[in-house]
Amino acid sequence: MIKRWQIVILCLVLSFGLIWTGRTLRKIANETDSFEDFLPTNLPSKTLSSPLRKSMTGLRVEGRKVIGPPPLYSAQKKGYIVSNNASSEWREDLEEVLKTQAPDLKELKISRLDSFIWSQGGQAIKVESVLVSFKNDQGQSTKFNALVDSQTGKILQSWNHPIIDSLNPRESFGIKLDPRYHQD
Amino acid sequence: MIMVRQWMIKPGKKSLPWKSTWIVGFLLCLSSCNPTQIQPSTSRGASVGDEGLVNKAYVYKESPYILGATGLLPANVGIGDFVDKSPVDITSNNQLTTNCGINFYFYGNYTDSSDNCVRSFALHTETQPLARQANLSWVYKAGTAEFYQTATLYHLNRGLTTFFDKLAFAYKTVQSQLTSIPKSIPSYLKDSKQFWFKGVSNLDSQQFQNSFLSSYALCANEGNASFSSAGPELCFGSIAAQPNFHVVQDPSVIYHEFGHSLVSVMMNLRNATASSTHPLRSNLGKIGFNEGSSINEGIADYYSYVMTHRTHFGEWALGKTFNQSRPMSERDPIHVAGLSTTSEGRLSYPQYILYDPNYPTKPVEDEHYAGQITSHYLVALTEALENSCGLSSQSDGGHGVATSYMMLLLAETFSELGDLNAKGVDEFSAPFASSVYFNNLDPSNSYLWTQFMNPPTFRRFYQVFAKNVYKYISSKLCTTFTKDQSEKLLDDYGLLLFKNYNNNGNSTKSRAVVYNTAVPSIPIQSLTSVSENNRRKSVLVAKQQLDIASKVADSGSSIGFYIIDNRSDMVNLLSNLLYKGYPVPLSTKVASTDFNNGNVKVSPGEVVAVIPNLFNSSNSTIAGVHVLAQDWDHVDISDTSTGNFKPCVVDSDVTVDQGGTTANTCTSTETNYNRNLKNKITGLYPTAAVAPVCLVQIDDGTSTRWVSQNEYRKKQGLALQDKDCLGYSSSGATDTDFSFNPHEWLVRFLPGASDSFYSKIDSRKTFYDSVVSISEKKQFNVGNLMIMEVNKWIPPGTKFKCRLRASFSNCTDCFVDAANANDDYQDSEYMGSKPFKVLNFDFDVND
Repeated sequence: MIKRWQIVILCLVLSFGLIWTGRTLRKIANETDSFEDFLPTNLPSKTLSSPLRKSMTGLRVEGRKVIGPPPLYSAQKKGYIVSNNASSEWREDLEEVLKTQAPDLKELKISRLDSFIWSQGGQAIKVESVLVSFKNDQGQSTKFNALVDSQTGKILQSWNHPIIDSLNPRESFGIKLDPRYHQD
Repeated sequence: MIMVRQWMIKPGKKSLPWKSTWIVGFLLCLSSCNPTQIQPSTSRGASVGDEGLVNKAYVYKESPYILGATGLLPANVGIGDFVDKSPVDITSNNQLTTNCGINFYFYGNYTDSSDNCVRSFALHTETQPLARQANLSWVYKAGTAEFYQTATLYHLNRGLTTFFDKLAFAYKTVQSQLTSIPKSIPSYLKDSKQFWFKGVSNLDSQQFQNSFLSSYALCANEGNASFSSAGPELCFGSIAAQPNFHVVQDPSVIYHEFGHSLVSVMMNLRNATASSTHPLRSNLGKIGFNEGSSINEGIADYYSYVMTHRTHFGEWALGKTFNQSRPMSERDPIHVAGLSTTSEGRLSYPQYILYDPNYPTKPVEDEHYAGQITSHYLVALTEALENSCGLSSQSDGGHGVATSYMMLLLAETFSELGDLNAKGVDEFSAPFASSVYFNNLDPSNSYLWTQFMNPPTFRRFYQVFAKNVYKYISSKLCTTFTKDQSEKLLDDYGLLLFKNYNNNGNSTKSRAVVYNTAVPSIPIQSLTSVSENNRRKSVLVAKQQLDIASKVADSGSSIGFYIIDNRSDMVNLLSNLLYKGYPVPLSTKVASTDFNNGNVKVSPGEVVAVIPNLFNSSNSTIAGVHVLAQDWDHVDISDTSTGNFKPCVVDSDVTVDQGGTTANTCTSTETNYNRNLKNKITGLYPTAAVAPVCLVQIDDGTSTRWVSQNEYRKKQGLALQDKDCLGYSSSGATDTDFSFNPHEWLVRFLPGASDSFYSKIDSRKTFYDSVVSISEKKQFNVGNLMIMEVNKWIPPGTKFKCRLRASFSNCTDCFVDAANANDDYQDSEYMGSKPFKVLNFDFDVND
């Protein structure tokens, strides 16, 4: 049986919690976010439903955060214009591209680290940020990061390439010039 | 020399304290629940309660070579002979991990920490770190996997503690400066947690797979050690033919690889706030030879000096295996005669850029050996600070304090060079609000700028570094080390490659916008010039002295561009690139190495490597040449419905009569980097944009003109759809590829292989004669190559002109604008032709 004084205490605790949460949200919302430089001033109110959402994730379109300048907004469609559509086949397409470059690679693994809308140079497209890892034909493993088109699997950017220091730098990979070039 | 056999160590025994038995039982239960841990094969553990060995182990503190076994061969090593007789602290964690802790002084002391930030494994297959033994020690039989991963963590922990001590010093020194001083290391570093690898950046996104650095002491990799910032992870390999040898037996190599991880951290200090993270990460260097990688290797060598206080690196793991250890001081006896610590005798740039002291008569173009110039300079500067700043009387000769100064300079420099958020400076405790930028163009394109358009080279790195020496050392920490001394030492190494410190705080897009515009507490900054009296060895050369060989050489046989289209070479090259982390996305169906015919010409369908045969017509050496095939602002878009354009007249190769123009957008350089792509909503192309480098010749009956590839497709009546074009991703029958650029549908340089580097070109010689023909293997380095693909549908006989751009590190007019008092070019100007020499790559496509 719940007593009256217990209900009063419960209400007090809940009230305190709500006040504290509100203050925290306001505090977080006031923090500066460098990518929010790109936030448009006339955002539809529905897009940013709470200060927390704005601060932690910036502009969101179709559930994805936007990185870069805000995409063009269509008043007619009442939404931001994103060029591509996410496809479930991006991973297979990416695998095909990588295997085209190096048919011998083994144990290829593509791990999605993030999904967002990459707005750059006037285009906004859905992208996947991935970690690619695999082994070469000699069983040596490697990994790097890449940004790929969520629709086509096309690699838009890659980074975090490994630094592989051979114990014998003089034996590094190189290509000889065709002898026909220096016959004279 | 300290050597002790492991079996001689007899830890004392004490009775088991009953109070501790429940802890031991609990730990045993925990360890039994861990299916992946390695059980020590032979544990020489301490008894529970032996306080002398709790959390400790016996490890080797130096390599066998340093401990006196200079004649021992790696194949015969018994590592137990080199284990120190005194136990050392490993970790009090329950697993073989260590914690990160750093103190931030920002108007009060604040500490931040991250548990288990480094985890030590033996093999790549392991996912859980080794659990602490029941007796609470980490003592294992020498030579076992557990022993090596324990010893590796000991050295990594030393490196980590030293780094955080020095980064804390750097942070305090920088943040103690007045608010009027522009600073790069951000005040919000504690909240952003970019002082280490921050894995989780937001509620729903990750930067890394893990928020900790994994180390694999017995990696399966043959004959190498590596750092991968994608893990992040360190990997120390072995040599199959020498089964007793492992790279981790040499702590200087552990510190070297750890040094790479610190460079990665420092390059990204500015790339997050407490609530947002840039989606990309800055890297220093690329595949093969390039100056960014050379700087990275030199600093990694230098970090081994910071930790060991020895001016030689890799005596055991590189020296005793392949005779490839490296010095860091001109005093080292390994050097050739003539090198000394005098101004004249320094290991200077570019004279020694191919110098391998182990084989001084066999030059090699390699980033590790080119990195010696950086490591020697950094050691020389450290010693100069010890002497000039009154530090040499300290018990360690001033090494600890001087290397703290050095890490301050490195952290501040890398923080600026790697800034992807592009703001450059901050307000008091947070990024400023306005959307102006002072580093690397803007946040959307900053990765492109840090890696391609204006990457760290010997010129760029040392300009920022010298600015920070002036700002933090000569003006604050050690005023007795003057600006002149700093410039003279740089010049001794041939590194005084700049005319000013580029410290007037111009924005990336407008000279009218300065730091003061965004941060009012920073007053208008003036440009600090280098004293020309200090430039004696650093020779600068005009960009016009660089050209393609065939245009300037007397010999009719000179080749302008080398083409490599041998199928097996190209297959191996593409594979090698991917293994080194460089995806080069080929266009499926319209180009492939299957078309390569090995006729050293460009043929339809081929994937070819292109190497410009660069010629230096000056009387001095040209060094650090960077050739770019990135899209740039060299056209005037004449039709926004097609994106077709006229090429701007930038040299005598394309005139107005040949279809060029000097009008409209050709009169200025764009400030925003927009590609020439169709807008989905309007269906139009932009009125101004950067364009692919390759133009195609069209003959319309009355004249021949250089036009865009898209215009050629339409006017020649080629019934080719987008899916038959290069760069078009064919996923889905009806979907459109919105990053497809129709102006490079016939030929294009592949992303990931669209720039190249060349160490040096001697006076009145080609690059081939200066470097390749005198090298032992007479082969091109991977860094020298760009890769181009050619559409199989190109009609034979079609003529192309690709307008590549080149700059070099000792260029007198590639970086400064004479029209603006020799101030450096704004970042946006790197979109155009002014900082570059345009190199025209002309070729026909024929079977």
